[in-house]
Amino acid sequence: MQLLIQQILNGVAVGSAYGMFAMSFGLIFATMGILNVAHGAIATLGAIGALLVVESWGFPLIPALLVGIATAIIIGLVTDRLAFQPLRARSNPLGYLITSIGVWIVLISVAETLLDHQIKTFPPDFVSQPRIITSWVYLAPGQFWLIIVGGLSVVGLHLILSRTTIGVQIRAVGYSEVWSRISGVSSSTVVLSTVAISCGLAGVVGILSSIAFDNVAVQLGEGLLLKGFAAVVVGGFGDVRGAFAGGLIIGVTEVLGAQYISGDFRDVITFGLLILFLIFRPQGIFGEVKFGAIK
Amino acid sequence: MKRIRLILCALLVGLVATPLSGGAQVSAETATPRAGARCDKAGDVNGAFWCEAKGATLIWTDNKLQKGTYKIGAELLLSGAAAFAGVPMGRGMEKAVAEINESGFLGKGAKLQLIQFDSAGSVPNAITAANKFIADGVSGIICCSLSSQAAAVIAITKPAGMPTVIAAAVLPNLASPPFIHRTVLLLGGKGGWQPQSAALMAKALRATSAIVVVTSDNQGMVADAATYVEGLAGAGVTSITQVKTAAADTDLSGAASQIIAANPPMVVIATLGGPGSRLVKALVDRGYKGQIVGNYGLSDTTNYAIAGNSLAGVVMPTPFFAEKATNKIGKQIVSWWKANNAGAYPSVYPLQGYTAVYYLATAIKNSGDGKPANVAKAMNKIGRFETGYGTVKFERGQMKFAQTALPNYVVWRAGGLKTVWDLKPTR
Repeated sequence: MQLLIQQILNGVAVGSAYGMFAMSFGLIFATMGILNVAHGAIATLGAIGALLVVESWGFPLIPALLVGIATAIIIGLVTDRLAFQPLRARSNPLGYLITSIGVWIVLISVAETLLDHQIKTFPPDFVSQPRIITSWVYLAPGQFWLIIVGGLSVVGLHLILSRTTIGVQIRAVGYSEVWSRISGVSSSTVVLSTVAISCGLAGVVGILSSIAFDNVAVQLGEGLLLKGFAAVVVGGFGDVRGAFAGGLIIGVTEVLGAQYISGDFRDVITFGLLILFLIFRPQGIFGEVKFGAIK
Repeated sequence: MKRIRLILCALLVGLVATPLSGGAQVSAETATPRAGARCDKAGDVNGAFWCEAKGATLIWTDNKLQKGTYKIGAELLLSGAAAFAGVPMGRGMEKAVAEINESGFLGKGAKLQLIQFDSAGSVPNAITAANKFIADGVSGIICCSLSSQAAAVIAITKPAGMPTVIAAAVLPNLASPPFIHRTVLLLGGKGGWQPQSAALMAKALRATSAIVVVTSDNQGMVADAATYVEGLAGAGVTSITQVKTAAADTDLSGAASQIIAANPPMVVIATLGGPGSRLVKALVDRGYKGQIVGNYGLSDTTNYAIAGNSLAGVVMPTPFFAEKATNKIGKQIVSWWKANNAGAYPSVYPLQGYTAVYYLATAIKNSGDGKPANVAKAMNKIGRFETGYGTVKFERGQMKFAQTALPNYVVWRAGGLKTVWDLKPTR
C-alpha cells in the first residue's frame, strides 16, 4: 500500500509536468490551429535560459525562473512573427506543421549549441525545500513544486480563459476568428497574448521539469511534447482542465505500469492509451470543442 | 646478454633491410621486411610494424603508403542523449588525426582526413552514415557508441568489405574479423571487471539480495546486466531482482521508490551514465543507505555535475583512471585534456576516439595503398598495440590487455574526486 501511494505521487508529479505542457501546447492548437512541434524546444530553451543565469551569475530560483519564462516568451513571439505569421493568410494546416518542424530544427540546434552538446543540471541543492519525508511517502522538492505549480496553473489558466476579457477573446477567436473580428476583437492582440501565455507556461514546465529530473538537455522538450500531445488527446482539446487531467492520467499510468507490469512497457502503455483514445474516444475524456484556426 | 641481443638484432635488421632499401640508412621509417620473411610474432607499436623471429629479432618496416589524402569516416553521437560521450570522443579523434598529420605518421606526403557524421543516437542515421562513408570512398570507418547502431552498421560494412573499428559499443561478440574490429576494453563480459566488482562488494557485505537496474532498451546494458547477475549469483547472492528503465527516462522517481521499498543491501547499476547518476541521486535523496555499484559509465566526470555528492561511495570499474594514468600515451591525453578543459580530468571517451583513430591509421599505413581490402588485411596483422590503457592485443578483432592487468576499481568521493577502491563497503 505504501509503495502504491508513493508511486501514485510520483505519477502525479510527472503527470503535472505533462499536464502543464499539454495545456500550453493545446492552447496554441485550439486558438491558432497550429500543431506546433517546436513547442517542446521552447520549453527546453526556457530551462536553458534559467540555467545560464544560474551558472553565470548565480541567480536564485525566482529570478532564474522569471528569466527562463521571459526567454520562452520572447522566443515564442519571435518565431510566431517570423515563421507562422506569414502563413496565416493562407491558413494551411500542413504549412503550419512543416514550418513548425523547421522552427523545431532551428531551435534544437540553438539549444545544442548553448548546452555545448552536454546534458546539464541545475546545482544539486538549487531547490532544497520543501522536501516531504514521512514514514509513508517521500516527495522531492522538484516533485513538490511540479504538483503545486501544476495545480495553480490549471486553476489560473482556467480563470484567465473563463473570467477575463482577454480569455474570452482567446476563446472567441478559437471558435471563429471571422465572427470575433466582426465583434471587434483584435486578432493580433489575441495571438500575442496566446503565444505569451502558452510559451510562458512552457518555460515554467521546462524549468521545473529540469529541476525535478536533474536534466537540462535538448531531449527535455521532446519528451514533454510527446507526452503532452498524448495528454491533450486523452483529456480533450476543449478545456485546459481536460488537458491537465490527461497529463495526470498518463503520468500515473506510466509509473504504475512500470512498477506493476514492467519498465519495458512504460512508453507502450502511454502511447497505447493514446491510440485507444484516438480510436474509441477521439474527443478525449472531457470532450472537444470545434475550433477554427486564426487567420 | 642484453648487449648481444641488441647486436644480433641490429645485424639482422641490417641484413634484411639493406637489399630492399637500396643501402639506405636502416631506420624504422625506411626498413622493409624481406619478402617472405617469417615472423613468429608480428604487430604494430603505434604504427611501426614489428616482426619478432626466434624471440630476439625486430624487423621494422617501411609502410610505403602512397602520397595522398586518406579518408576515414567516423559516426559519432555529437547531439542527442549520449552526446556527453560522443563529443569528447570526437575531440579525441580530432587530436589523433592532428597528431598523425603533424608527425608524418602515415609517411611522406600522406595525410589523414576525418569525416565526422552526427548520428544523434539514431540507428537509421548510423546506417545513412555507413552508406555515405562507403560512397565517399573512405579507407575505413569508426563507429558506434551504441550497440544497436553497431549491429546495424556492421550489417552494411561487413558485406561491403569495409574495415570498421567499433570505438565504444559494448555488446558481446561485435568484433568479426577480417573487417570488424573493436578497440574497446570490455569490462562487462563473463569474469570481467564489472561483474567482479559487484561480486566483491556482495562478498564484503555478505549480501544475499541485490537489485540490478538495467537500461532495458540498450542491448549492451542488457548484456552487462546479465553478467552482473551471474557475478552476484557466484558471490552467493540468492535473491536478485531486476528493475528496468529506458535510455530516455529522465524521471527515475518510480524506479527509486521501487528500490527503496525493497531496500536491498546493494544496488548494481547497469545503465547509461546520465540515467545512472540521476538514479543514484534519487536513491540517496530518498534515504537509501546501502551500497551502490555502477558500470564505467558512472565514472565520467559529467555524472558529478548531475548527482553531486550523492555519488560519494559509488564503486565502479574503469578502463582508464585518468587521475592515476601511468603510461606515456595516457599521461599525454590527460595533460592535453586538462589544458583544454580548465584542469578537469578526462573520461574514457576521448581516449576511445583517439585509440580508434590510431588503430585504423596504423592499418591504413601498413596497407600500402589505403584500399579497404588491404586496410582490413593490415588490421588483422596488428597484434600488440600501445594505447593510453597500456599495451593491448587483439584476439579475433577484440582488444584486450596484453598482460593480465590489475582492475581499476574506483570509488567516488565527496567533492568529486575518485580514489582507488579498497574492496570494503564504502557507504
